[in-house]
Amino acid sequence: MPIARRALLRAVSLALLPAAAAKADAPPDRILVLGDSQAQGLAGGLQRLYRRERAARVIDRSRIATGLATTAHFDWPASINDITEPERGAIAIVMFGANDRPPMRTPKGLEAFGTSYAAHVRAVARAVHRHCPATIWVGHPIVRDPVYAEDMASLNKLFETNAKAEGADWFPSWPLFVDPAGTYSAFGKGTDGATTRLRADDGVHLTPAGYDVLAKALQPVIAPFRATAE
Amino acid sequence: MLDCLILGDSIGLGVAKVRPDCAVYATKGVTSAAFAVNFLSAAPGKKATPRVAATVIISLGANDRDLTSVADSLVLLRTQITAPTVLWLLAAGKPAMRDTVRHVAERFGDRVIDIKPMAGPDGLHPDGPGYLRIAALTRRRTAPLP
Repeated sequence: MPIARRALLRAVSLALLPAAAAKADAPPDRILVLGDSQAQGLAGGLQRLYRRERAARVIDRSRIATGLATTAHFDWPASINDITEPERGAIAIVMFGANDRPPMRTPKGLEAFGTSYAAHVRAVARAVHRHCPATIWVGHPIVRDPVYAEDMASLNKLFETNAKAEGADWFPSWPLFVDPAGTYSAFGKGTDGATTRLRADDGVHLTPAGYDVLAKALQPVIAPFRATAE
Repeated sequence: MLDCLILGDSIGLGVAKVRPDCAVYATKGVTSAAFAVNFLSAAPGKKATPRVAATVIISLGANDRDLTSVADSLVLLRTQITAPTVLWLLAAGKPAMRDTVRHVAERFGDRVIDIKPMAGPDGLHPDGPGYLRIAALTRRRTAPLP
């Protein structure tokens, strides 16, 4: 092909496809996942959900066996700034609670725990929101043990109130894993519509299929924050 | 995309009779939690409930005795719906239930139609003229199609 003709074709094709070229060059939307082992599972679900999308990248910054109640394994309130600062502008997905059961059950003890825990939620939510204006705080799903479930329901109230106060969006995952009577169900419909096991044997964590259900339910919540949705 | 979709309980079924232009996915006596579970467990596909429409009309809350998980169920349900206009029908009932529905609607910038004044003899379900009034109100507030 003559050079002049090739150059003309190239010029025409570039002129016709500026939007596509710009989209291909655009950096991917970063989805930053923060939290404990539940967050780690969710990160896996989100990675599977977006694996065919070049325009989305899931960054897993979860740490298993951690929480906001104690800093013994990892100090989230002290570390969150350093974790989110390099990912400024990412869509943040936060999930905690499984390791944060109140250590005592006296009314006074619960009140003190709630006050301290709320302060940690606020500190983390504030720091995340400073770097990631799109912050989605995911509530803990129902768990099998009724007392444990009560604890998680109480934490969810603290998450909702305090994370929302710091600018986060609240996403309740509890109703995703209940039966029509509102009680814990280990089985449910997977993302393919077939009934499958959604909960792990411990009655707390989800199976990969369960995390896929959670990720899929989050997709429409994440979508409005994305700049390069395909 | 559907022009109009009605989701919810027996009041939703009643509204569907006077809004035959709307697709309907409603169950008599359903609680918010049960509706959310059934709705969400239907994987998107040919046979699943549509989740996108120009206007979605939601009637839920009237059958909820236990209000603990109502807000979460309604919020989760709402996050799965894509519609330029979402109208919540606010039925007669416990003030706490009505507040919950109102707060969820506010959170998403949706509109609320208080149907308490249209309640019929049982104090909950609208009567014939009430349903016609709701039909007119929901038509008036329907988003123009693109």
